[in-house]
Amino acid sequence: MDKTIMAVDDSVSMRFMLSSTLKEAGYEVLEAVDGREALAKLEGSHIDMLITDLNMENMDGIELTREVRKIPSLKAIPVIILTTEADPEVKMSGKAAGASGWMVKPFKPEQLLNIIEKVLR
Amino acid sequence: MKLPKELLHKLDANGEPVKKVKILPGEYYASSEDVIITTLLGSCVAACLYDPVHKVIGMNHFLLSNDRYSREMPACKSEAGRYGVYAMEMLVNDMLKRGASRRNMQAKAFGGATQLNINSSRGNDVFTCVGEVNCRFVREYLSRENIPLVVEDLGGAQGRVVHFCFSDFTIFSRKIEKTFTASLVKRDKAFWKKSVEKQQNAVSDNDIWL
Repeated sequence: MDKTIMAVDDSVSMRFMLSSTLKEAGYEVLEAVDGREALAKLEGSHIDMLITDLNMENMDGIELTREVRKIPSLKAIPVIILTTEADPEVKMSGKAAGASGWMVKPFKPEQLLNIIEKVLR
Repeated sequence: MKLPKELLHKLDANGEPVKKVKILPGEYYASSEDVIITTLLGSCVAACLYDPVHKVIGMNHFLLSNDRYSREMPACKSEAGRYGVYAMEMLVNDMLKRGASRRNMQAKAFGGATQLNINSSRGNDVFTCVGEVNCRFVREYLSRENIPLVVEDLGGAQGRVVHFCFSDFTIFSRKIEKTFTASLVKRDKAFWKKSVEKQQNAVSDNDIWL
C-alpha cells in the first residue's frame, strides 16, 4: 500500500511543489494550510509521515509537532519541519517539540525524497 | 539614486526624518515602522507587499537564477521557480512575524527589464530572457497565492528606481537612462551567475534526529 504523507504549508505554491514531488514519487498526499487545519484533517485519517512548514498563522509547525506527538497513533511517525528558518535555537526547539528532522528551504526534490526514504524505512 | 523631493524631507510621526533603507539583489526588508525602502532594478523583480490593516510593508529584490528556463512549465514548478518561491516566502514570513496577515496582503511589482544588447560571446544567451521569466513568475506567484497585484510596472527595456513608502504604501518609481540600464544589467548578470553557481554547489543544511 502507498504511504500517506501529510504536507502542511501556508503557501499554495509551496504546497503545490511539495505535493507534486511526493505524488510523482508514488506517495499519497494529504494537504493542510496550517497546523489547525492539519489537526482537524488528522481526525479519522491515517498518515505515515508529516512534513510541515514552520511559520504559519493559526498554528505553527512546532506547535503542530507538539500536538501530533500527543496523539497515541502518531507518537512515532516521522515529522520533518521544512522551513526557511536555519537558526540553531529554533531548530532545537523543533527537536524538543518532537520533530524527527529539519530541512531548510529551498529544498531539492531528490534530497527531500532521499530523506523521506530514510526516515520511512 | 537620489530621492524625489517629496520624499527627501519626509518626517515620521515623531518629527524625525523617515528611516531610509536600500536593498540589493538577493535581499529583502520588512517593517512595521515608518520607512522608505529603495532599490535599483534591472532584470530583477521587486515585489512590494503590504498589509494595510496591520500596517506592515516589505520589499524583496530577486531573480530566478537558473541556467535553464522552460516556457511551457508553470514557473512555480521549475527548478528556477523554486528559488523564486523561496525569495517570496522569506519576505512573507518576515512580514508575518511583524504582525501582517496573509489574507490582507496586497502587492505592487516592478522590474524585469529585458536587455538585448548585452555583450555576450554566446549567440543565444540564456540571460536575455531572465527579465521576462521574472515578470511571468511574479504575476503567476501572486495570483496563485491570492495576493492581489494592484499595481505593476514590469518588463520593457529600461531599469527602474523604486521607492516604497510605509506611510501610505505609495510607490515612487522612475525609469532610468538606457546607458545606465546597461551597467545595471551587467550587475544583475554577475548576480545571476553567482546564484546559479551557489545553487549548484549548495551544501544541504538538513538535520535528521532519529
